[in-house]
Amino acid sequence: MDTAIRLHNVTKNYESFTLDHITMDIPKGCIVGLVGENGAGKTTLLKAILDMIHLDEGQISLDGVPVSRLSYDWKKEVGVILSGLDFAASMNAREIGNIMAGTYENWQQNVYEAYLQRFKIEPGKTVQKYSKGMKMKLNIAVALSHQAKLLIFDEATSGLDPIVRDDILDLLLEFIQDEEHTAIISSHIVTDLEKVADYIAFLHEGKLKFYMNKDEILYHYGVVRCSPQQYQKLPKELVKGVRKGNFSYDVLISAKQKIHQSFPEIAIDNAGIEDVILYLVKGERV
Amino acid sequence: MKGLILKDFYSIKNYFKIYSATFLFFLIYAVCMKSPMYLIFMGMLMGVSTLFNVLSLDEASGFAFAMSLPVTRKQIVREKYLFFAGMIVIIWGLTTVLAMLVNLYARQDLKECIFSALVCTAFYLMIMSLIIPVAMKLSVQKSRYVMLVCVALPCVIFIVWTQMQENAQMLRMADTVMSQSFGMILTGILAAAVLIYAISYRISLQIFAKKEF
Repeated sequence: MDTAIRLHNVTKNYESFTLDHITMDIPKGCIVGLVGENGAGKTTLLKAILDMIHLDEGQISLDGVPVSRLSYDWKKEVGVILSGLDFAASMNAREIGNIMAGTYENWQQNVYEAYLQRFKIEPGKTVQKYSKGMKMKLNIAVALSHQAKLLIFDEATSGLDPIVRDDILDLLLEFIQDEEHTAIISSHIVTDLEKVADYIAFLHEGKLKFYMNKDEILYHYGVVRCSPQQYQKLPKELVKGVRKGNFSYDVLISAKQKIHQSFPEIAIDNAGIEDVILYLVKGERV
Repeated sequence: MKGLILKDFYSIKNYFKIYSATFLFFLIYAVCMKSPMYLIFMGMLMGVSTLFNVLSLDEASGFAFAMSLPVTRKQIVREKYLFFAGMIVIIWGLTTVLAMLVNLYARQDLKECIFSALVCTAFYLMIMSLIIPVAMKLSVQKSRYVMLVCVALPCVIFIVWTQMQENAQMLRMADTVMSQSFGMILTGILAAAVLIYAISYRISLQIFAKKEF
């Protein structure tokens, strides 16, 4: 699979936070879910990809070319939704379309209008009268109306009701039908990422804790509920985190099939992405 | 860059109504006071204050919105300077035409009116030259303080000028200088304003090149 974006040792130092040597390859034709708690560094990483911040170390390449050497108009193929970025409240969708038509040389006004109709956004209504969901849909309409090949969505589904979130996720799945398209979505709503993401990158305190194929995570990881005595027998290289209760332990393991074969008497539950994250962050280290 | 200019234009279009209403008040006051200079100064002050809203909106999103678009940092800065210069010219045109009408009504020296309008424009161009880099480097709020200090300056000059009016000898000297060197003084002031604006642009480019969002 071709690589859309390559991050190599990406590092950014702030006073109280460091994005710490992030290395990962984002393949084309995939949706990568970037997950982590508030302040983990998700938005910082996305801003680094968009060349909004200067890296202290490392390099980011798009299609094999370092971002710093790309022609300025590389962003014409990038659709961006960054949290906290809203159009001025006094603008309406028609004016926003005019702004974008004057900015993107590959702007497709007919596509934009079709999305406005699909999302039931009135072209003459000002942004200040939109609900949060409508603002997000407007942002998405803009992001998808200039033949973007890369979508970067930062907390695009946060604060939205389940129906709107589902609509947005469906749009992402539509977008990714083209194998040349790539999407990076950051969110702390893990269930959304479980629905659409192909890969999950988990950031915690500026570090990349894991970057794996989502299906592999769901297939291999599990939560074992066992007694302290049974816990002692578990192979420690497969134990990724443990939460000790008064009478039993909940253990995150990275090879549930192997454990099931070795310990058929032990109950193993499937682990979702959220379980994996919670155990890695809050569970005791082995 | 066309998109950026449109963005800034749309972001302040709602203020045109307020600006027009306030300007009308200034116009009425200027007619009553027979003072076209008042209209020029206050009209331009109001117009330039409106431009702060553009900077405030950019600051609210940390200029990050523009950075997500296919434009260079240089284009973002250039657009700001072109937009503000263009708006100052438009405001100058509006205030000058109306001030000249007030001037005709007040039967005052037209040359002085035109001179005041152009000097005022140069003055506000110089103020914008200070405000834009301060807003980019520090904050819009700090740039408002800069503007307050700059606007206080002509008030002081006005007070001194008023005192001079009472001194007949000084008045004759001023009249002589003005009549003999009117063109040169005006050209010098406008050239200085444009030069300062250009220097400010270069400074802003350097500030924005290092800026992070």
